[in-house]
Amino acid sequence: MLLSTNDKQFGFWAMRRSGMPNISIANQLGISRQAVSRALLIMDEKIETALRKMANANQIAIEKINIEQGILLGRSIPFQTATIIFISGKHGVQVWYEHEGNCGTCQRYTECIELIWDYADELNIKIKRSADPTKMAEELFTKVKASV
Amino acid sequence: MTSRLSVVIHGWLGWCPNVPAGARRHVNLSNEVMAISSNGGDLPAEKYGWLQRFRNWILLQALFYTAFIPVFMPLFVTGAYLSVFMVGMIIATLAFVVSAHRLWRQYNDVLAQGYREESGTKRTVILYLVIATVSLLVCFEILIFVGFISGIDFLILPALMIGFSIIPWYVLLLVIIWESKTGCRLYFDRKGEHVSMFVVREH
Repeated sequence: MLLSTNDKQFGFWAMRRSGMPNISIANQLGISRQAVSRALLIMDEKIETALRKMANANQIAIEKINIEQGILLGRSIPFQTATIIFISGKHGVQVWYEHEGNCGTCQRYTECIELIWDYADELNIKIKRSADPTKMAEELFTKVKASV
Repeated sequence: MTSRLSVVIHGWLGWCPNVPAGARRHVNLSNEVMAISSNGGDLPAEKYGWLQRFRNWILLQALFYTAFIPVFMPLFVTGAYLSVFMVGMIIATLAFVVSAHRLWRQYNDVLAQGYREESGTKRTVILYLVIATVSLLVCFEILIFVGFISGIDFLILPALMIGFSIIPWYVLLLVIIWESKTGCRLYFDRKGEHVSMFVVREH
């Protein structure tokens, strides 16, 4: 596995991603601010490595990386399409391609819907709940890309 | 007008974790191929070069290993060494015949998937196996040279091993046949630990 989302350090990182300052994380967990900073530095390195390795493994040319958000925007070389790699606390590292998926016949329809809802919740982004995951993803990723 | 069109087209698109259906699985070298930026910033656009053509890489390896033949051949002019050299070539030919089907299937996999990636771990294991084999052979030669192993000529083993230099030529031939049969060209790309193979359609 590229990245363990069960680590305590990942928890700190997820809290920071949701907008919590280091001092609040430290206070909430009863640890020093220095410990939080150190953990976040290590986690940032892990996040960056995970994103870059995933991009490399999937032949994705990197365009933008936001370590604090855990998002990599790029372009798939073999598929010649825009690609997003993101990290979800619940679903791990994910790679999505820009194209209209055939959700009606896809066996992973439910998983995709859940993933998008969970990821939107993790980022505190409000999206319209529709029956088409590919469109929900479009709305979510448009908002995500704006923040990168 | 152009921006309006791009907005309309963008409206048709969505996002999906599946590989795009009917996606272009073949990298078109006539387009600029974007290289994976090491710093994640600006993207250098570069085309895959001559050395990244798989068969050229194999050709270089074949030439490298064959270069040992003229170095050692004057020593092998006697019948005994020449016979051992021929035995080496026969063993190499048999080894290639056994593995040719697997290699052919690997190239077909690349064709089917657009690219194929070899993990760093697998390559490391192979590297260690090669290093271990070469080390054993060198030790064996040293033992013969210093007289710990008697009854075997010092030059027998090199004569046998140089017979194996035929293998890259066989692989080269296989790649050329595969490329002419499929109308595709094989390229490879090395990024850090990963080695990827790509297929490019002939125009």
